Amino acid sequence: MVIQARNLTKRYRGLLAVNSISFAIRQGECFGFLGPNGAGKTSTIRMITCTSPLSDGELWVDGHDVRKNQKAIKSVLGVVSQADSLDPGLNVTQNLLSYGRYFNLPSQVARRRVGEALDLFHLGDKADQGIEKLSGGMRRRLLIARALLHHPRVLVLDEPTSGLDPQSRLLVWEKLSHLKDQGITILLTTHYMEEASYLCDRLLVLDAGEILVEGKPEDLVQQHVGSQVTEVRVSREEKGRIMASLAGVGVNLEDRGDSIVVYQKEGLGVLDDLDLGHNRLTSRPANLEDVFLRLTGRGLRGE
Amino acid sequence: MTPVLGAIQGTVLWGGFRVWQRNRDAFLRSWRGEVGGLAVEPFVMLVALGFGLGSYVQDVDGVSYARYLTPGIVASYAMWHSTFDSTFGAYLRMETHHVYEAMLFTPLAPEDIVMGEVLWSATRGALSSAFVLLVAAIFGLIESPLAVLALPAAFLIGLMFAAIAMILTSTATTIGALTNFYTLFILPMFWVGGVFFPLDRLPEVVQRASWALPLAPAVALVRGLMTGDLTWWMLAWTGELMAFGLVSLYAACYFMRRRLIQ
Repeated sequence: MVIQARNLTKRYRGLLAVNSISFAIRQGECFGFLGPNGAGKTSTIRMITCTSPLSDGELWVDGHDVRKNQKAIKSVLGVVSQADSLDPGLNVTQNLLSYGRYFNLPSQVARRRVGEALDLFHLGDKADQGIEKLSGGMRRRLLIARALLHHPRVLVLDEPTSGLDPQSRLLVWEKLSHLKDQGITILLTTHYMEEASYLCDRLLVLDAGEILVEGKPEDLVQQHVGSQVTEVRVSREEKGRIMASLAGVGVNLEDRGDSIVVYQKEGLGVLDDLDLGHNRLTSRPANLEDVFLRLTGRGLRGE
Repeated sequence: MTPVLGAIQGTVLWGGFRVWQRNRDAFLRSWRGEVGGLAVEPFVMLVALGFGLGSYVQDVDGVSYARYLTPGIVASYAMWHSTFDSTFGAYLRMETHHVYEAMLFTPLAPEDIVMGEVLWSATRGALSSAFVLLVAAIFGLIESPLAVLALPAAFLIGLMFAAIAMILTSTATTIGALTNFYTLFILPMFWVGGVFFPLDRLPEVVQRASWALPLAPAVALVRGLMTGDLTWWMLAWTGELMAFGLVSLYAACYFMRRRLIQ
């Protein structure tokens, strides 16, 4: 186990951000923390990266107790934080070189790796530019390149693609998936379900500081939603009648305002018996987002 | 990695050196914008106060006003520039540019950051003092070869003021809070710290207060070195500066850890 938490708890002045959670992350896997805003994802990440002390419980990273060997832990972690923490006082190359120095890389090694990283992350022609010249996608790539410079055992990413356009997001996914193939352990938080199903081997869904479920993305979808989701668009007058008749058939359903979502383990059969009119039915394979919404509900968070 | 190298790299001085290197790189990237001011300011000040105002002022303790004034300017420039970097400069790096946050995700700890910032601010302070010394040398205002020791003295002065400033920066909740430090602490010292006239012209109470504050011993130390009038008091003043610096550094580390690791 690269990271192991037992009854991990974080309190900020009376607010319980992480409520006694336990989990274990294996060497070489990509592990995801999913959850709405305020679920406790970032608080957990901050405890793992030794930038926030535990309120209670135990936490080991790479065999070290986070309460004791913080320098040892920090030297095997590569962290991409949520806030863009590129150094605006330095150019692209200097951003990488300075990070190499913080990790005490010998300067020839650092120079060689910086050259390689710039090529790998398609930043070669920006080497001498100030970081204010970079696009959002380039900045994110540079942040990831910076976190990898010292060859960490675990790469920790807090919402690595939030705010990126689809092209940049795909590029980041591709790089992360290559890194995974090379055997690096990845821990990421996200609220993009597509990202979690694409990258994560295992994940846990957090809400209000507690773990709701944990497992492989495809298993979670099967267990909590089924294989197929059908959305039935309904008018307000019809809704009561249709809900009642669907409930009578015994399927799992969810009221999403102007539509009813029906989760099914097997085919569409049950819906054929209802007189709904086909133009109001949309069917698609179930995904992680359905699991997420089922488990955490539709209420807005942090408002 | 050898055990010796590993032990060195584990110290706060080494961590501070890494942070110092970062600030040096950032400075060298933009130095063209700053170096003009560093050179012109002491020039204008010495011409205006030393020769302009000085021509109406009688000799002070047997030396011309320009010669009396110069050591005070050397010492107070170290104060101004190091303080500025450890207040507004450091606050900007910490809060706006997330530089500290990025450092904390590496083996660097809050204490390393404070150490590095203070070392760099002292370097900036000594650099500004070096420009004053250079201008003073051009005007023929330097009497003793011991004046070269004014540079390490300026570094110590910068170190001490930067450490004091970091206490404020690590506890400030807005950038506006930093201005109080100037109006309530730095400026009063500047006017009654022995830069412009000897302290013994002031009422007894103000004299005592002034000697207890860190600028007066700093100015007296530099003045001794530049005029060559050495006294044993200079050791006491050096000790006072070091004591102020160490206590402040310790406090700044405490407050910075409390702020950054929550």
